[in-house]
Amino acid sequence: MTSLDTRSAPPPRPGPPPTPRATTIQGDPQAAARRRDANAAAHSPSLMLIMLLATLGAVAYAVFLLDPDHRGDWLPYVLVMVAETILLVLALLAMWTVLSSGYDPRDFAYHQARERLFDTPQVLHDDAAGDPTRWQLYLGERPVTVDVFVTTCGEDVDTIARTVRAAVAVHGEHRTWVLDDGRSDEVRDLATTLGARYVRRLSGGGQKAGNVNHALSIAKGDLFAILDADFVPRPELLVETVPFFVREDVAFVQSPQTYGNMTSLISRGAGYMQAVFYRFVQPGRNRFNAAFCVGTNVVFRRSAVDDIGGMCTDSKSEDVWTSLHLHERGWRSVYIPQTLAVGDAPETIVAYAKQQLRWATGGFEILLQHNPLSRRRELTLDQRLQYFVTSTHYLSGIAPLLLLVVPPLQIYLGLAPMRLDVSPGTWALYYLGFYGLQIAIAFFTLGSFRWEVLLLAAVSWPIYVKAFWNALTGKQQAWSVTGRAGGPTSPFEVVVPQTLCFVFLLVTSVVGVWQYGGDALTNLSVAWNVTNTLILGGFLLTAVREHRAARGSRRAVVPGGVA
Amino acid sequence: MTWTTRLRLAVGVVVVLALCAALTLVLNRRMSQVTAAQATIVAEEVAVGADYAGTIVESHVEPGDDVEQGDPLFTMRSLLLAHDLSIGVVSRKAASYEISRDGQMTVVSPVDGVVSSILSTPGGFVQSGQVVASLYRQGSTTVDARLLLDPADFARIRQGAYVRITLPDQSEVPGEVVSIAVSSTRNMAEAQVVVSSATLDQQAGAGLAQPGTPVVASVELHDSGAMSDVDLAFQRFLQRIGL
Repeated sequence: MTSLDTRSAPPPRPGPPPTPRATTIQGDPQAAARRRDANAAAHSPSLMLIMLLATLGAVAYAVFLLDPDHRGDWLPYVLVMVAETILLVLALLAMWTVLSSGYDPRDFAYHQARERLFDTPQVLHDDAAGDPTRWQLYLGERPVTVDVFVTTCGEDVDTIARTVRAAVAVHGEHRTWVLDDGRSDEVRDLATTLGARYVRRLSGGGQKAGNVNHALSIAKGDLFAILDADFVPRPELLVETVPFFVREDVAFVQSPQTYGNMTSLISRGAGYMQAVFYRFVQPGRNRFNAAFCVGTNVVFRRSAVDDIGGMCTDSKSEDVWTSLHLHERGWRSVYIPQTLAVGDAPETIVAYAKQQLRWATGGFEILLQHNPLSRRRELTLDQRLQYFVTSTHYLSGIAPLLLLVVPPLQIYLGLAPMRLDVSPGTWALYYLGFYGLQIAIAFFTLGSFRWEVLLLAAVSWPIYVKAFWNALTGKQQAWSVTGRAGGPTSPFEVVVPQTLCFVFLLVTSVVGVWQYGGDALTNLSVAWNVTNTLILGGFLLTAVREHRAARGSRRAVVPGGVA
Repeated sequence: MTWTTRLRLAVGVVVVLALCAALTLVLNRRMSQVTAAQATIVAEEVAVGADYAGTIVESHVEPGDDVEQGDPLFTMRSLLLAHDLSIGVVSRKAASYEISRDGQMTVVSPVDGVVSSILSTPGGFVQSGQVVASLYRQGSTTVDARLLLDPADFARIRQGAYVRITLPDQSEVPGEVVSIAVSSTRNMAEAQVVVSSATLDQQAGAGLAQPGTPVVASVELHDSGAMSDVDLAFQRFLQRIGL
């Protein structure tokens, strides 16, 4: 919290020029610590060293794989090469991006605008010193009007209430709007009670982007913030972001999605998976002017969105598309690795699958329909590369599928991806040179080893394959909101491929151990297969647990007549 | 869980299990045979030469011709032989070749077989002891196969085991293990197996069945595992449906 939080601090002193203490962070050591926290490792010189070693490791591994002397049978070799190429190239590009993540987008203009964000005499004149929500925001001596949109679509009313209450309490004069696509009277009453405006559109379509576009026809503020119904904003949301707009070419300022519910295996996996993205990749993308919007915790400049004809509604991942269109029009984007709103990561397998399917489909759509490397795009080289990474990122989710098939190929058909005369020690050296150092990077950046991330990454391939297929065929998946509609669903609705794969790997492992029982230790493929079986088994255990919980809660609901 | 999902799971599990079963049978087939890293057709070669230096007058065969024991191969005229005959050093009866009255010597095939090469043409002069023609002895055409085996698998090679020999044109010829020799390289047993094949013998010297032809030899290993009966039943089933 900044010192603007006057509940504990005395009101700002009167008298021009506007008091620095109204906006600086010097008075509050916690704020500085928190800001550093988010991507502290980005500023560490050791990061450079680890990245350098990891790059060497990746290159050595690539050379090892490509060495014709090590080539085995062509089928598994091609599978391994495709998978490892995807992983290696994306890892190298990601490391390159992360190296840029120490870049701080706050320049002199930002700090100066922040100093002058509020007009203290005016605040005192209005007798509003004790109520920061009434402090008018100024940019370059001109007042700016800000709208805060809370988009809802059938979420839990308590969740919405929490968010709207916090949105109303955000510092700086602003209007809070509840954009309700769920058409709930309960939400309408809630908005009125909490002092927010309520908008319900009559037409559907365009999902969240359509909802926002509709609201933009009513709300006429210079800037607008978008918050998902479950993202509770911190009071400094506007104070931290609005000063960036002093630069005329800034289209939006994005802050990370931070999760407050790291309680289940799925939410921890999903949350930490994104932690690297929000702490290191997005800040790095800043440097490339390619940080993209993630749909929530973002403040837009209205004129920029008007410039591209409103938020993009053609896609399921409208946020990335909107960013892409803005960048093509020459707008700048800013990302700050500072938590300004805290929300919920998907807690269940079903919610996680839906979220990943949506994001991955959006990524593949860009790759297939709007290739950022095409000459028709008006992007800088930096942006092309970064959007290419965005659009291909989820291919790395498909790679595990290819690698899962390799051990069974060797066990059943005796097809080896690599020549057998490579000793296991040599192989392990190169393998760890890449994967070991990647884990070291994750350890260094996240501060600890998160096995949940690896587990989720290894078992999510059906989602990404489906996403790729959907993007390729233009098939529209029926989406339901991340919230809960119609009670909890059994995770087995979405993990059928994983279940079947598990059965296959389990039988394969048994056959492998039975056939090569004597030298199982030396037989790498059996060891791998057993490992893969255990990983999938662990995931399915979570699914079974969720299935039981879902069944339990449905039983509890049905007698009450709610379902 | 909806019934559709249950059905999908059930059908999926059945399909996966069937796939695993089929793959396991394939694995079993693979485990019950071992394919040679190197295999070539070889044959015992019989060299036919002349005891006496002389001039070849006539050649009775060409490479690839079938010959029986006693068939004439070539005729030569040797002054030394005529001299020796005239002074009675050699008798016409004792010679392993036919000697005509005018001192011409006809060399005959010592064995049944196929002519592999003729080294001298009529009119050529042959030194004493020089090889003039060589024959592949009938019944000596075999396949020499080098197999790299796990020490455990080495014990599973038996004499008389069935061997599938695949010629370069992908035609398959049956054979059986005659003898086994072994050496060790890098923890692997390198077995040298001699495979005889009646079919190959009949085709000896002709077409692809010539000595030196590289072939693929898959040696059946002795199978006493739990799956051997199942595998046998599966084999019979495959044969029955014509695969």
